[in-house]
Amino acid sequence: MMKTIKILTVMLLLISGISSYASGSMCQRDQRSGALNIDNGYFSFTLFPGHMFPVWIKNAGGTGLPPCRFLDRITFLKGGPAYFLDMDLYAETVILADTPERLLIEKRGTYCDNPQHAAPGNIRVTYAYLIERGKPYVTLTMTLARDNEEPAEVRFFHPAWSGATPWHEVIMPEDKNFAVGRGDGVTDEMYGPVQHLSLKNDSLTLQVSGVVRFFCNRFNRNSFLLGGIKDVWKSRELTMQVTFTVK
Amino acid sequence: MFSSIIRIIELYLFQIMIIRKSFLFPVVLMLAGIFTVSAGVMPAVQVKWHNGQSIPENVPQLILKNTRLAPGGALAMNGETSEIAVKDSGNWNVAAAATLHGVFRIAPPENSTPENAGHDAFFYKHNQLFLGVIGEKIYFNFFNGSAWVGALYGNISFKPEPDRFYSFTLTVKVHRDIAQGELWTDVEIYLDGACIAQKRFDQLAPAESSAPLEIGCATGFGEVWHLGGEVGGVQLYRRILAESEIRQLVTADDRVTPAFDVPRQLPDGLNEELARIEASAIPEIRAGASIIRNWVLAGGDAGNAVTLCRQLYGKKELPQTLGGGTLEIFKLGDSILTVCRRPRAGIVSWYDLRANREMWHYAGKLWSVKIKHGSTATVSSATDPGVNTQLVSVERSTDNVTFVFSTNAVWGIGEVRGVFDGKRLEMQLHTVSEPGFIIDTVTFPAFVLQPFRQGRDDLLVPCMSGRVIENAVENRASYSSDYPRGYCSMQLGAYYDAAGGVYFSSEDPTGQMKKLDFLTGSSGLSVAYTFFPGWQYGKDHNEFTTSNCALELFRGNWYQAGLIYRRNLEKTSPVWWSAEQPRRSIPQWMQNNLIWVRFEDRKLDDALKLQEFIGEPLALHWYLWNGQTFDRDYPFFPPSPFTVEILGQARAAGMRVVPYVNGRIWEVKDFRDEIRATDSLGRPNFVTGENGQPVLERGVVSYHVLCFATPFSRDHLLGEMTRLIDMGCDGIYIDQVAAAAGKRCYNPGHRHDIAAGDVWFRHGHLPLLQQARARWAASGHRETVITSEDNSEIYAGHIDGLLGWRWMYDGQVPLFMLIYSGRTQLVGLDYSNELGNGIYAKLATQLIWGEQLGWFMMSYITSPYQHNFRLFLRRTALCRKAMLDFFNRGMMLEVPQFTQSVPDIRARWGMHGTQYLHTPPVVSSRWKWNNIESFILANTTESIQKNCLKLDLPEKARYKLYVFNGNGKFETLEPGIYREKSFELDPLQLMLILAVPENEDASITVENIRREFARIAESENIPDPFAPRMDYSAPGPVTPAGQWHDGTKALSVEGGRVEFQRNFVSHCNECVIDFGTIDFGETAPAELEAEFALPGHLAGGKVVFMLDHPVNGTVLAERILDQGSGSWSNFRAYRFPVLHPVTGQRKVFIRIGGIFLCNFKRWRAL
Repeated sequence: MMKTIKILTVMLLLISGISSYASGSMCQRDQRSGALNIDNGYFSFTLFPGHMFPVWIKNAGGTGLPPCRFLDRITFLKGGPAYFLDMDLYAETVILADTPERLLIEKRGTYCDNPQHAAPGNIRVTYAYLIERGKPYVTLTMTLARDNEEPAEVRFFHPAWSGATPWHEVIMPEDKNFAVGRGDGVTDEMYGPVQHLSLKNDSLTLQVSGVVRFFCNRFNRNSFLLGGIKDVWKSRELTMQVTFTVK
Repeated sequence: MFSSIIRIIELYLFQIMIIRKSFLFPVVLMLAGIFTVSAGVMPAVQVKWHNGQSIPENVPQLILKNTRLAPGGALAMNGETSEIAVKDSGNWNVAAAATLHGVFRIAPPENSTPENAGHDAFFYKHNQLFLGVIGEKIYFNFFNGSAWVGALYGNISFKPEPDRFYSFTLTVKVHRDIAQGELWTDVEIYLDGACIAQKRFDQLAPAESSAPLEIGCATGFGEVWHLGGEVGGVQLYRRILAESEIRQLVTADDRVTPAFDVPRQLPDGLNEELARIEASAIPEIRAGASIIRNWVLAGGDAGNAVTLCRQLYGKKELPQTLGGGTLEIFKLGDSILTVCRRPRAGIVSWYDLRANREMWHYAGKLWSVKIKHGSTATVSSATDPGVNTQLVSVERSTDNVTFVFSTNAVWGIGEVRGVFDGKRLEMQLHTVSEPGFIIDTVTFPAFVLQPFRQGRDDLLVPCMSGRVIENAVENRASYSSDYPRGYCSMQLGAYYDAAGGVYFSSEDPTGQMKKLDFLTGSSGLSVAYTFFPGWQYGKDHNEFTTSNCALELFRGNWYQAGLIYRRNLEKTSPVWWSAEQPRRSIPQWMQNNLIWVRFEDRKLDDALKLQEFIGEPLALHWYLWNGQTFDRDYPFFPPSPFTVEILGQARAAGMRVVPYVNGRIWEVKDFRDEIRATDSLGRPNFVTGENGQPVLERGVVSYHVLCFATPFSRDHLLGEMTRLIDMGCDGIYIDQVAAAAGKRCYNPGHRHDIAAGDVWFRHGHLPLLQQARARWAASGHRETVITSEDNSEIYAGHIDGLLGWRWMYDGQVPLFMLIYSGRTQLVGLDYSNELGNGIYAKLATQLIWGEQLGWFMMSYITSPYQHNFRLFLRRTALCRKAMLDFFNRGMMLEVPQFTQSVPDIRARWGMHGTQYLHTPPVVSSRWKWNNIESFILANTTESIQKNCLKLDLPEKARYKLYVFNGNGKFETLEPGIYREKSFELDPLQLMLILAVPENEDASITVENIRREFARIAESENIPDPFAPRMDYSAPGPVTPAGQWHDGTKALSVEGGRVEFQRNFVSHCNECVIDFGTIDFGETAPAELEAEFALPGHLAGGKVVFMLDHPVNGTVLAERILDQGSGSWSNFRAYRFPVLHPVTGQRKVFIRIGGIFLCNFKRWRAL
């Protein structure tokens, strides 16, 4: 009896999967590169094999997010090199849900330095991207787990633009509008955490919700970085969440 | 009267490096500080203890302890306390190659314990090497820095007779090619001239040792091992002696009984008889004398020889046989080949009638085999005592003669079939072993050519592009390499002088692995090709047939030898040979490509600017394309989003993009610092050594070597490459494939013959390349190319671009391009560390040889201080474009000659090969296509060059001449008979001369060339996007020249990194440091002093002090940092003679170039 139920369940899931695929998944796999191209009508982006971050993010009009590098990283308070998540070339991709209405994809990797050494402590990083039809944002849940409790600083969802800034306007709900170029004298991490933040230029807006910070790079006044920071992570597990909207 | 001599001979011959007299003297003088130099002995350095004088007085370099002179002149060793050491021999190391030869008598003292008696040392250097006797085994070992790892035993049971002297010869040759992860040591041991042990120790080499060389004792094993007996003589060489030379040493020592058939001395009377024959005016009768002489020296019946001589007196022609059929004489064409039936059948003589000389040396043994029998390995040849070799067949025809030698030995049989046509001798050896005997290696042919002495004797070796070693015998030229690989790109060699020479090749159409040894000595040139037969798993015997090996008499030089090789390729059409030219499978874009850039940046900006400046598309050889560290995590090559982005941008800009992958190795820790798939996936597919373990190489980290005969290896790499091709790459560069030596694989699970030499290519990389092409063509990627490192010929049919990056050998010739131009492409040389006009000579040589230009690091070619070179690059690129039809569809002709002889310029080309090369100021080449002949001339100097080109066109033929000068002056000469064409070339300028037969329509070609040369003439008007800044007028404090000027306090530093805390400028490469205004006062300084830090292996860069402007100013002083300072942190003061007297206040700049990163601290005037 149980066996029959199991078989039926599997068949139902299979049929459900087939029907959902047939009725229009938000995710298409590029056969050549293996990349997952995601489009929910409001925005599109690509999850590249082996790579933790969304790339080639575009709004519904096809305007692309200015090319950026994600500087998500871990640094240990006792010193040593910084380990970056985008140096992981072997991140795994797992599609947890793929229906016409909901797409949940997990990327699993770890922090590395260059040359390719993984950060000590067997750190497992999972970035879960939740995309829902009809919603103009992506919910990103980041989970970290490790085998020790070495105090460290963790930066997450940390896009950075080097060179001339692609943004003309920074909007924060606390009315701390940041004028471009007002960087003289500011130091790294000048602004504290905010709940909502928007970067705008003529054709694109990037909104981020969650506990994030906005700051400029003191080594290059024209570089802007955005991200969440866990100043001291001492436990074995850590979970954070942001949503980002491109419009 | 003492009769023995100890010689210590140091010959500085490296693998194929030549002793030139110009630097031989310093070597000799250097050694004079160590050893007594015997005057007039060149090139050897001798130390003597002789003539009855006391040893310590006459030979202060020997430290003797408890030895005494024996009655025969040897040094007696008491077996308990006697010791000999060579004083100050700490810096005598095995290094690249060495031969240690000694004569010893082994006679343990009567009261010696069995343990002592069983440990006799001949040579010992603490923590480096040992040769001696243990028990009944001759034993060698070497220390690699951490352990004694090179144990090798003689294959005989050695029971010395106490009254007899024995000669022991040890040859050690170390091969290092870090780029290929290659390291091995070849060791051979000879007892009385017979090889009793040989082995290659892979990934191992003797460590350097500063300990003195010990003779007759070994003091570093805890308990000292003493020789009981006598030391009768020692000779040391820094090169490998050929077997014939070793045997000469043995033969020359009358105390030693040779373990081989000794060539007889010509008996009294015979010389007179031979001289009478040689006085004949008829060349072939003179040849008869040579035949008889060689036959006697090889063991023929001397008594009968006089009779044979008398048969020739007064004769006008040689008979077909002599001595009742003992000697079979084949006179055909220009030469006479003689084979003999007795005492052992073999080739006796090959006489060149036109040059009137014997070419064949009697010491050649024609072939040998290494036989494995149980746990022992022995070397056997057709001429060994006790081996029965017969001439079993001779068939003569008007055009040629065929002959067969048959050998029966304990291990099996060998049969040589030969065909001789008067010019060419083709031979093939078939060997079959008896059950229980495995034929491990087959050396065939193995012969010795007499020294050629009519003018300069040249040895052509197939290293990289091909290289001619001048005065080969005098310089003791030595070439040894595994084939196929970059260091042995083809199978041919040639030895010749002004009167002619001999071409030789294995001419193997299967491209199987083999080893080539071309060694010169006083006997002449010793040539040997060694094959690796392989055997089926489970069988206890095997058989093997060599390729058709050829020797051919020719007149000319390397070019004619190359034509013979090319002719044979056309005839045999091996799998890599394309009858079509250009090879159809090379995409058009690849045939026409001009420039390669090594790209590893995060941005494309500079590449775009460079492309715009040149005006032609660039090809990017793309490293670090996924951000992955170089040489890590092989064989996994995951792309990143960055890969896709740059690829898209480059393709949109019209560039071609070829990323790097490695096609040979698997990192042991294949997933960052962890093992992921090495054991589960990799291990079953690794090349397995004779010990049953996967071969392990050490480079940046540790790697295994993949055996591409396994489907997994091929499928995996193909998958990795295809992913990149599918993403839009224009091709793949597969590193090491055409560069590294193949490996013999002993893994029975791979289903190939065990250790067979044909596995690596025929069953490995060839099917991989064929599968890749088929798969990519089927998916529409027909424009895809494959490129690889170096230029092994066997890949010319399937790899479209070969990276001859290390073609930097003095004497190199375009042999490879003569044969393979249009059939594959050459895609670049390494650009760094040039000096003088080396940078221009290198680029111009690429042009005239038909190579694609580059490959330049972006930072190198876009440096502000490379403006002149960028201009030259633009000119050469456009000239290449004008010449493409000639390069791809035509053929290279002999190098043009000039009426006026101009001395070559010696310049440094870089850090590879011999580093310094000689080239004429105007380099040139000549090509022919569609009956049109073209001459390319490139002035590689910064001065005007005038000369007159010898056109060497067919007599009485009428040609139109078109002259295109890069300065914009074009000239058309009406049809006529032209012998010469004078020219004047501006500095760093090009010229192309077309000779078109009167009735030939070459209007399209002429117009194409005119168009490109018009663009060349415009080059100086093209804005250089990377031009040096002109504004260095920033005011600064005026400082006296005599005080120290720190780099960290300079006004500006470009191309280096200012390290304030450490007080120096680091990472100096193409660097300019602006020191502002310096006051030299009223007296011009004679010298400057500056402090730099750099490791020794990076020495060779150039430092220039400039006045007023770093590029356009006046050279104040310059020099090469020809020696390192020891390390990055150890600063050393270098003196700079002032070239331009200077007083008063002037701006001063330092330019540092040609060094791959050095550190600069400060300078001052003295």
